[in-house]
Amino acid sequence: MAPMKNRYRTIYLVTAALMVAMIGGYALAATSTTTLSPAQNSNVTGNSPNGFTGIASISSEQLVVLTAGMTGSATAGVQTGGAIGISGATTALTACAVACTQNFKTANPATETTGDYGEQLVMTVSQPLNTGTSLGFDFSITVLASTGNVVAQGYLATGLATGGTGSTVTVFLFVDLGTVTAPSVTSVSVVFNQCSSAAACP
Amino acid sequence: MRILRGRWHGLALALMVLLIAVPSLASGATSVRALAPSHYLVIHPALAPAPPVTIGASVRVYRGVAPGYPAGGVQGTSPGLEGTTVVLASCAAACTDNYRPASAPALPGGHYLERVTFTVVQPRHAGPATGFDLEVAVLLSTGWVVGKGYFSTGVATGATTATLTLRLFIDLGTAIPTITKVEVTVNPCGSTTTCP
Repeated sequence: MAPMKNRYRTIYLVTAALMVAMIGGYALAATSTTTLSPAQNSNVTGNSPNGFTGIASISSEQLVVLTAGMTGSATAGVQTGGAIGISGATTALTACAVACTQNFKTANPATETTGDYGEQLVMTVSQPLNTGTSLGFDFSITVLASTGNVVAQGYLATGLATGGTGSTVTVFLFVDLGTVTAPSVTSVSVVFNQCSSAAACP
Repeated sequence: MRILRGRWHGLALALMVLLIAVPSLASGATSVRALAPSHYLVIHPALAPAPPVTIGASVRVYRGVAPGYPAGGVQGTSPGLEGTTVVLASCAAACTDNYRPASAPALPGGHYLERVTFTVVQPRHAGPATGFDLEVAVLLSTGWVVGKGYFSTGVATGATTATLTLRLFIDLGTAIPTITKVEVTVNPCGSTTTCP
């Protein structure tokens, strides 16, 4: 009988110790901070508390028929080969004195067809003064249309103004809707992101 | 005694199960990591209401004599839709106006032209007028010919709206053209003086 009691006592003690250990560990886990490894890198960690403001915005959107002049515009950056997300090299806007107009087609898709219906998006970009810092930014455009939805991307850098004051660059961007059938556009969305450098995104 | 011991065993077992199950359920929550605020901007440009313009028919015409049609505005520096508008003349009830594309040279005699007709509702005298642009792209066997126009509806002479038949003439050259396709867009402008 005595050995049996001793055995039970041992079992109780082990059980009690396990429970104390588990409760203690649980309490520690609930209050401690765990840093995951590897740390997740973010291209948006910040030097601007206000997010993407004062860099670029959309002024207007219009439905167009793409002309040779539009499809022959410079490409807004270069999409990284094989990448389908936001990844590419930027094209810097030309230095501007006060106010300029510059024209671009998208980086992805990189080719556009004259005669297709397209979207003309006008962006207003603030170009820092010549001693400032050029900022890279990307944009992803989604057009919902009766002829099919289109997503396009581009990569630009603000560049620097020619003088000691900033300038305003009006960027005309032409997006191919990939159709020769007159579309009915129901929605246009543009997402801008600031890139980690003036040369590449993200 | 045995019953009492069995209850203690059952209680201890239930507690152990809870201690194992609850942390494992919560483990998903402890792996969340807060990231720094993103520098992004999402914009949904508001689609402006359609201008009071209806696209009508297009037809190829031959002009033996040079028509003296004025330019439909002034094209900006962009190859896109960017320009300064011309104000349509005030009309009492129904009028017809003829224009060549913005900044296009005067239409010469002896050329084939593509004539696209639009119907514009001109607001009553109290307004307000609205700005709009037109783009006509004609695909010939030899390639594309494009004309753009920038207009303000202007206002009617009286207290009721007027209906304008607006014709835009695109120069197709002297050779008999083979037209494959005609594409037309109409957009509202941001003001009555400039587009977009």
